[in-house]
Amino acid sequence: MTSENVRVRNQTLAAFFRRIPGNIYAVALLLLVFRFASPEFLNLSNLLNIVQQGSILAIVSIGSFLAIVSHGIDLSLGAIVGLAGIVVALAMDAGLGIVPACLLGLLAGAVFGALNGFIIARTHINPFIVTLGMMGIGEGLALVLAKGSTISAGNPIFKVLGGGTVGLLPVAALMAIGCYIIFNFVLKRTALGTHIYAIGGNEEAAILSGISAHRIKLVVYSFNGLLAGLAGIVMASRLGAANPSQGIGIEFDGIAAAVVGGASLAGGKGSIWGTLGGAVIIAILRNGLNMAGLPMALQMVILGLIIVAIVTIDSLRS
Amino acid sequence: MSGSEVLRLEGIVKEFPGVKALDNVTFDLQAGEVHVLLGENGAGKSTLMKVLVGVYHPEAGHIFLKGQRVRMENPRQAQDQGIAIIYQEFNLVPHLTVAQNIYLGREPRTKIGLVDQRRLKSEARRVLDFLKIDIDVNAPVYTLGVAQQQLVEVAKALSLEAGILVMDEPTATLSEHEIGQLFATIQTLKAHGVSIIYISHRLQEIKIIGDRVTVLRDGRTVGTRSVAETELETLIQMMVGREIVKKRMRKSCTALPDEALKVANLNRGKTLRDINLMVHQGEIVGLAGLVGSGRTELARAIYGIDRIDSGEIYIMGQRIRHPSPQLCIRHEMGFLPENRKEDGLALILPLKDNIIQASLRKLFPSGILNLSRERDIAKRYVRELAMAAPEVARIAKFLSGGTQQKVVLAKWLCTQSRMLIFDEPTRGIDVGAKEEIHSLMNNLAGKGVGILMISSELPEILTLSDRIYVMREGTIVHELDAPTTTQEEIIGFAAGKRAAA
Repeated sequence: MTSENVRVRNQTLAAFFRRIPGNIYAVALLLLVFRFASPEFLNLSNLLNIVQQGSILAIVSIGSFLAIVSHGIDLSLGAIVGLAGIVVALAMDAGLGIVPACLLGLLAGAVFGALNGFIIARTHINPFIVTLGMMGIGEGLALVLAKGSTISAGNPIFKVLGGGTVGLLPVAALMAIGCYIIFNFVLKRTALGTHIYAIGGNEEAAILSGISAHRIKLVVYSFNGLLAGLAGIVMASRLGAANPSQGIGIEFDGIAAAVVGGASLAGGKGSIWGTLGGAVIIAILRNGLNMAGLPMALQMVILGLIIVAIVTIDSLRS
Repeated sequence: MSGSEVLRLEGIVKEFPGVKALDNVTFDLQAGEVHVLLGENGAGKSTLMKVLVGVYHPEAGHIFLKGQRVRMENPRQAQDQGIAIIYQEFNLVPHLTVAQNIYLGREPRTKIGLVDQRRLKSEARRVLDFLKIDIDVNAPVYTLGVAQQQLVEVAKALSLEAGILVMDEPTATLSEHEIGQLFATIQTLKAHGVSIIYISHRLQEIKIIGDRVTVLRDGRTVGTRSVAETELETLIQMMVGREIVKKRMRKSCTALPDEALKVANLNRGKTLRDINLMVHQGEIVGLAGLVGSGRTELARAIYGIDRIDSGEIYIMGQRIRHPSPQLCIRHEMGFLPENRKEDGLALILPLKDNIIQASLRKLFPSGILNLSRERDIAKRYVRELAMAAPEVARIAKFLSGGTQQKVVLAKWLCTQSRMLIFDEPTRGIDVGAKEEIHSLMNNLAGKGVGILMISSELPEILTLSDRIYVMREGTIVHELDAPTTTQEEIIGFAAGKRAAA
C-alpha cells in the first residue's frame, strides 16, 4: 500500500518535471555558468541591466511569435523599433508632450505593421519577402527622418519608461509583463486568438470554416507594428536618445526567442510564455557572454551554437 | 430509407481543356439514405462532388435542393445550404483541440464577446455523445489517430446541421475495427434523417452500408441500382464496361531468366506489408490496385526515398542494404515518378540539362562539363525517342506532356538503366504520345531492360504487361498472368471481392 503511494507520488513528480518547459532548466544552468565565469554577473545592477535589455527583446518577441504562429515571419520589427524611436524623439523635439509623442510613435509602428499585413494578405507574396522589403523601407525612412544622426531624447520623465524602477522592478519589465498578460488573454480567450492559431495550423481549413485569413493577417502584422513601436519607445527612453539603426538585428533575436520557446516555423504551434522564456534566455546569454569578457566574435559563435542546441534538444524531447 | 427527394443533379456537364470530365450526369438523393457513388479512378466521382459543393461550376445542368433549383457559387454557400463534405485530405487544424475544431469560425461567445469555453466544450461533447463517439474534447487533434480525426470531421459536419453529407473514400486509410466504428456512426446519422453520398470503390462495403448505388464511367452515368437487388458481378461489369478487345502489345515475353529486381518480405509501417515481388530482365510487370492501395508507396520504398522497416531489395542480383536514390542509380535502376512536373523534371531547366541530370558523374567523372558533348548526347536522345522538341535548349516547362515524359525516360536511358520503375507512365498524356511511350517501353524490354509499371488504367496494364501483381491495403494480394486475365478479374482482386490467394 505504501509502496503504491510512493509509486503514484513518483509518477506525479515525474509528470510535474515533464510539464516544466525545458527553458527553465536552461535559464538555471546559464545563471550558474555565468556566475562562475564572472563574479559581477549576479550583481543587482547587472541583473537590472539584463531585465531592462530583456524587456525590450521580450516585447519584440511577441511580434515575432504572432507572425510565426500564423505561419508567417516578420523581419521588419527591428526597422520599426528604429523608426518609432526616431518619430518619438523628433515629436518631442518639435515641442509635443510626452504622451502625444509616444502615441505618435505607437501609431507610426501600427501603420507600418498594417501595411505589412495588407500586402501579405492581398498579394499572397511570402511574408519573408514582404517584411524583408519593408525592413529596408523602414530603416531608410528612419535614416531620412533623422537626417542620418542620433536624436537626443533626454527628457527626465520620458527616461522613466526605459530606465526607471518601481521598487526593485524596472518600469520596462512591468510593461513587458503587461504585454504578455494582454496577449496571452487575446490568444487563449478570444476567437481572434483561436483563429490566429487556425490560419497558422491549416489555412485552407480555416478559410473553409468561414474565417477571413485576410483580416487575421492584417490584425497580426498591425499588432506586430504596435509592439515594435512600443519597444522602440522604451529603447529610446533607456538610451536617452533615438538612433535610426537602434533596432537592427533585434528581429532575429525575436525569432530565436519564439523558436527556443517552442514555436514551430511551420505555424499553428507554440505558447507565448515559452516565447517569454526564450527571450529571457537570449537576454541572459547576450549579457553573460559579454560579462565573461569573451571577444565579440566568439560571443556570436557561442550564442548561435546554444540556440541551435536548445532547439535540437527540444525537438528530441517531443 | 425512401423518403422525399432531398437532392437532384440533372444533366451535369463539366469540361476541362481537352477532356469532358462529366457528360450529362444525373444523380438523386433521398432523405435518410446512403447512396454510393461507384466508379474507377477518373470516372468523375470527385468532379461531380466538386460541382455539387460549388468548387467547380458546370457548363450545363441543374442542381435541385428539395425541389428548388439552386446555383452553387462556392463551398461556403453549399455549407449554408446544409451540404457538408469530408474530403480525403482532412480539413482540421492540428494544434487546436477537438472542441475548437468542431466550432472553428463559429465559436460560442460570452456577452462581452469572448469565447465561451464552457459552452464550446459542452456543445462539442453533446455532438460527440449524440454520435456515440468517445473522444476527449480537450485533446489536440494532432494526438488523434486518422479514424478519430475523421469522426471529428463527421461531428463538425453534424454541428453545421448538415442534411447532406458527402464522404470521399472515408475508409481508405482505416483499419477493420475503425471501419466498424465509422459505419455505426453512419447508421446513427441515417436514423436522424441525414442523407449520405458515399464515394468508394471497395465493393464489399457497398453491400454493408449502401442503400442505392450509382455507377459512373468515363464521366457518364451508367445506371442506378438498389444495392440489395444487385450482384457484385453486375456492379463490376458496370464499372468496367463492355470489354474493349484490344490487341496485346507484347507479342511474346522476351524475358531472360536473370532477375532485374527482387523484393523480399518488405515492410514499412502500416502502409506496406510483407511485399514479395520479382521482375526479370526484359520483362514488363504491371502493378495494379486502387488509389491508396500502396503502389506508389512501394515504388518509393524500393527506390529508397522512404525508409523501410524490414525486407530485402536486390537489383541485378545484388543486395541493396540501405536503399537510396544514389545507390539505386549506381546499380542502374531508374524511377519515373507519377507527378512528372513536381518530381520528375526540373521544369525551368532546358531539356538537355534534364536529360543528363542523373548521369553527370558517369559522363564527366572529372566534374567539369563538356558543353558540346552534353548537347550531342541530348540531341541523340531527342532523335532516338522522336521528341517533338525544336531544340535541346528548350525549357522543359514548355514541352507537351508526352515529350516531357520522353525527357524523363531519356534521363534514365542516359544513365544506362537496366531496371526502370514507371509510376503512371501515361497519365495526362494524349492518345498519340501514349502509344509512342508504350512502344518505347516495349522496345526497352526487348533490349533486356526490366520494367515495373504502376498504372490505374487497366487496358494499359493488360496490353503491356507480361505478369501483373495486384495490390490491396498495402500488400500484394495476387499475381496474374497478363495474357489470360481480364479487367473484371483484376478489379475483383483490387477491390477485395475475392479472397487473397
